[in-house]
Amino acid sequence: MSEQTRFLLNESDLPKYWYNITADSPVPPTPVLNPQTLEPVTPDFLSVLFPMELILQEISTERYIEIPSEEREIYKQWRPTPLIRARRLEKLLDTPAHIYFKYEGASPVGSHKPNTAVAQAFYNKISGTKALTTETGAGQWGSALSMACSFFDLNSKFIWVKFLITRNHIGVISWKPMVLKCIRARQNTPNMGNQSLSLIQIALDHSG
Amino acid sequence: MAVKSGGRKKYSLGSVLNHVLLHQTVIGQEALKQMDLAGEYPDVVIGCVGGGSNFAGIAYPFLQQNLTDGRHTHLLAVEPRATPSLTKGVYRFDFGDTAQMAPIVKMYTLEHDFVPPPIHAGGLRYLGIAPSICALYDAGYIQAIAVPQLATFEAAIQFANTEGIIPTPESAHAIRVAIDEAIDAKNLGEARVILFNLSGHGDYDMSAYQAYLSGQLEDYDYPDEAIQISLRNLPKVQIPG
Repeated sequence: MSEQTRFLLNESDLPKYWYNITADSPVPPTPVLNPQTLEPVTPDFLSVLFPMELILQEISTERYIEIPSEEREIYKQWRPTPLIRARRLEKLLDTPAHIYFKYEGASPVGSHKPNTAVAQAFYNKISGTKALTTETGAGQWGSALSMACSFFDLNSKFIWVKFLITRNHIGVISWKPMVLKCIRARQNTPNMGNQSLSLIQIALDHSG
Repeated sequence: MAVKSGGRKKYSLGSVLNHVLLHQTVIGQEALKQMDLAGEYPDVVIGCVGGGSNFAGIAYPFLQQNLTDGRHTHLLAVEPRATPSLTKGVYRFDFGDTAQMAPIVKMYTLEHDFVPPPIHAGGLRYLGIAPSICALYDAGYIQAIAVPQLATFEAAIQFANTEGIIPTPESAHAIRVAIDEAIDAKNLGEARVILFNLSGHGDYDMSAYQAYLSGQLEDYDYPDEAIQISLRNLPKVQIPG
């Protein structure tokens, strides 16, 4: 049994592929429907929102999808992240169990969110996108995507939810320097926690 | 709008979608190698679930081992009792948003008019869960559990005091269940190996901790009556095929 507390990998151990559960899932994917027609959505419907490479990943049945070298270089800014055995917590609990945690807070913005933010920014950049829009609540996603947009020289115009700005102003201030333009969600924005595509309209209306 | 931008402006989403979950699988792939370095293999893998990306990120590579390599790791998704989509919702086609502009997907839902209570669970308050997680949960390949707010913060404080990292409140849900698993193992005299995803630090969340430590937070259970009322509003969707 190892006496180690932290288990660290080399940069060369960084995964070369993303793993797609669809390839091995015993459960077939359920259809995604157009809200107007109730028919399955088409790539054209999605291409308004996303670059084609991400749409293809969305519907892919390939088991492994290669991580582009540009993307792996950026992952090296914080990956591989440590695996840590929580020995002091085990001692407090006086348990025979071994508790391990994967620490994604080691990323530059303190969460797992950049793992996808930099990938999305990369595929948008190479497909000619000039600006990305999104909404963020607690600040993790906003900080991750603003960093990714900075890395790939994309404009970023985000909505954040007013209720959470006041509650979470430290998080917002920390990522604001990297965002070119932020928009406060209107106070009557439907459900402050309901951060879904309903806010796209507001974001894009402000992104001229 | 993006339609009028000629493709120059696009939208980006931080969870729920397949490609987002895909990108997060670097977490679990690395963890597999690191557990090997530790000379152990997890009996249970735990992640909090809002949209599902951090849970899928750590759990799906271990699920692959279950499906293809004969492993039997329990994969445990943790959600707040205030927003119990997996444990109290129903598995139906629903709109992804209140404005009914988003695609309709099949997921465990408290329905699209759901107004999240103002609990301190960050992204876990989001109403939509990744369809692949819902399908795998429905088929029994993933388990789910809901935990109350105060016990979650209690676990976060225990973790911060012993390990020195203040977790984000989302991750604290996973910590609560990891601690409960460790206590259960103690009661049963089992040498259980537990792995959880600490998806983020809580340095942005001091106001939530301030509220907890000053006694301003309370437990909130999503009422069963509200779920029954909500179900009447689900869209009538004929499943293609």
